[in-house]
Amino acid sequence: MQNPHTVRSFDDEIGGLRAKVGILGERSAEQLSGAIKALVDHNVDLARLTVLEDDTIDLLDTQIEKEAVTLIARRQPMAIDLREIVGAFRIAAELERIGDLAKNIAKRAEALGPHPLPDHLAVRMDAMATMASHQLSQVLQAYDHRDPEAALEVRESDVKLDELHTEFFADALRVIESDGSRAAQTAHLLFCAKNLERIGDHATNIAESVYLISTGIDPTEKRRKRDDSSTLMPRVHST
Amino acid sequence: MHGSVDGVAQADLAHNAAQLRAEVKKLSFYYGTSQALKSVDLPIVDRQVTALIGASGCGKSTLLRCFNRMHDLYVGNRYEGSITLYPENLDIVGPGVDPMLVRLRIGMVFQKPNPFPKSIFDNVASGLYIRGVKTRAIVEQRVEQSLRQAALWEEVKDRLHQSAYGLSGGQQQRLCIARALAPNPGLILFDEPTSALDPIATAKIEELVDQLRLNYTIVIVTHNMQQAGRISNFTAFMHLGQMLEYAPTKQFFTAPEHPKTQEYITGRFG
Repeated sequence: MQNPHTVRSFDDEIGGLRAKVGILGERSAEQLSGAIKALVDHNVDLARLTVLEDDTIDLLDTQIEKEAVTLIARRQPMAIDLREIVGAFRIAAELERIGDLAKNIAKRAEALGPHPLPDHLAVRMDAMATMASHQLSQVLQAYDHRDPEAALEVRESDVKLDELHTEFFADALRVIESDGSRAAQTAHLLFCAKNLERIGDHATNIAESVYLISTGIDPTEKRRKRDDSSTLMPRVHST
Repeated sequence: MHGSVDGVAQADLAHNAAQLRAEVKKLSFYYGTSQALKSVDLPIVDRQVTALIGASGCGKSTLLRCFNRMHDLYVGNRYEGSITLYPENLDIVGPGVDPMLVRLRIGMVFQKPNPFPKSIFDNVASGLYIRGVKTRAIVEQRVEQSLRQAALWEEVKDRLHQSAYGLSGGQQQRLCIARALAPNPGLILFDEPTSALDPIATAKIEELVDQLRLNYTIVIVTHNMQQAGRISNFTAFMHLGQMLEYAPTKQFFTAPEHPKTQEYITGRFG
C-alpha cells in the first residue's frame, strides 16, 4: 500500500480512475456471461439485451481514456503513478475489446436462434466459456488487489484455453465434414469459440499490465502458445 | 546503493562500453562537525548528463560543490573518500591537490545568472585570461565558438563589447554557460540552472544541455524532476546525505527500485 500523495486530490483522481476500470471490468464480465448464457440457452431475447450493453462499455472506456490523458497532462505522473495511469488506459482498451467479442457472441447467439447445439460441441463450448469467464474474473481480481502473482497465474493458464479452442476447432471440422447441413450453424460456433479464445488473450494482456503496474517489470518472457487451430485443415474430399 | 553501479546501470554501462569521466567513491563531507555527505558513490559517465535530485538538505548541492572544491572557501570543511577525474586520474578532493588546479578543469553554472560586470566578450574570455591565454585571435575564436555552442552568438554578435547586464535573464544564463565552456572544461556542473527562468528560457537551456552532451560531460542538480527526466541520461537520488539510488533515467522515472525514491518522485514524501 502506497503512502498518500502530499496533494490529496491526486489520490482522489487516481482512485477514481481505478474505480472506473473496476466498473468497466464488471460490465465486461456481465456482458460475457450474458452472451454465453444466450448462446448456451438459445435465448434470443437475452442475446439482444447483451448486444445493447456494449454501448455502456464503450462509453466507460472513452471516459477512462479521457481521464487518463487529463491526469498525464495535469499531473505529469511518475513511477507507480505513471504505471497506474498508463495501465488503466491499456486495461480499459482490453476490456472494451472483450466487450466487443462478447457482443459478437451475443449477435451469433441471436442468429443461431432457438436451435440447440450438437451435444458434444455444447459441452466443449461450455468448457471454453467457463474457462474464459474464469480467466476474466481472476485477472480483474488481480487488478483489484494489485497481485502480480495472481496475474502471472492467469497468464500461464491461457494455454489451457488455447488447447480447448484447438479441440473445439477439430471437433467442429468433423461435424462439418460429416453433416453438411450443420455447416452454417457450426461456422457460427467456430467464431464464438474463436472469440472466447481471443477473450483469453485479452485477459492475458490485462494480466501483463497488472504485473507491470505492481512490479515495474514487463513480463516479457514469451508465452507458450497452444492454440494450433490455425494449422488444422478439413480433409479435402477427392472427387 | 540501489539499482546502481552493481545493478541495471552497470549492465547499461557495460552494454554501451561507456567510459567514466569521473567517479565518486566513499565520499563523506563535513561542514565543521556536521556530516553532510555519507560515503557517497557515484559514477559520472563521459559525455552524458547525470542529474542529482533529492529534497532540500539532502546533500545534492554539497556533492556538486565538492567537484570544484567550492567548500574550500570556508575553514573547517573536510572531505573523506575520493572523486577521481579521468583520464587524468586526478583525485579532486585529494590532500595536496590545489583547488585552483581543479577549478581550471571544471566549469560551473549557478542558479541565478551571475555575469561579471564586464562586457559580453570579456565575460566569456575571462576563463581564458585566467589560464594565460592572451593571443587575441585565439581568444576571439574561442569566445565566438563558445557563444555559438551556448546558442547566444546570433543574439549578441553585434554588441559583444556592451555590458552583459543588458541581456535578459535567459540570455545571461546562456552567457554564463558560454563562459563555462570557453576553457573547454572536462566537466560542467549546473546548480539548478533554470529555476530563475521562464519556461521558454528554460527550454532553450535544456536544448542547449542536449547539444552540449555531444562534447561535454554534465552534472546537474535540479529540483524539477520533469527536467531531470527530460534532459538527463542518468539520475541519482540523494536522501539525508546518502546516495539511495542511481539508474538510467528512463528506468529511474518509470520503475525506481528504492521505496524512498518512489515516494519522492511521485510526491508522497514525508
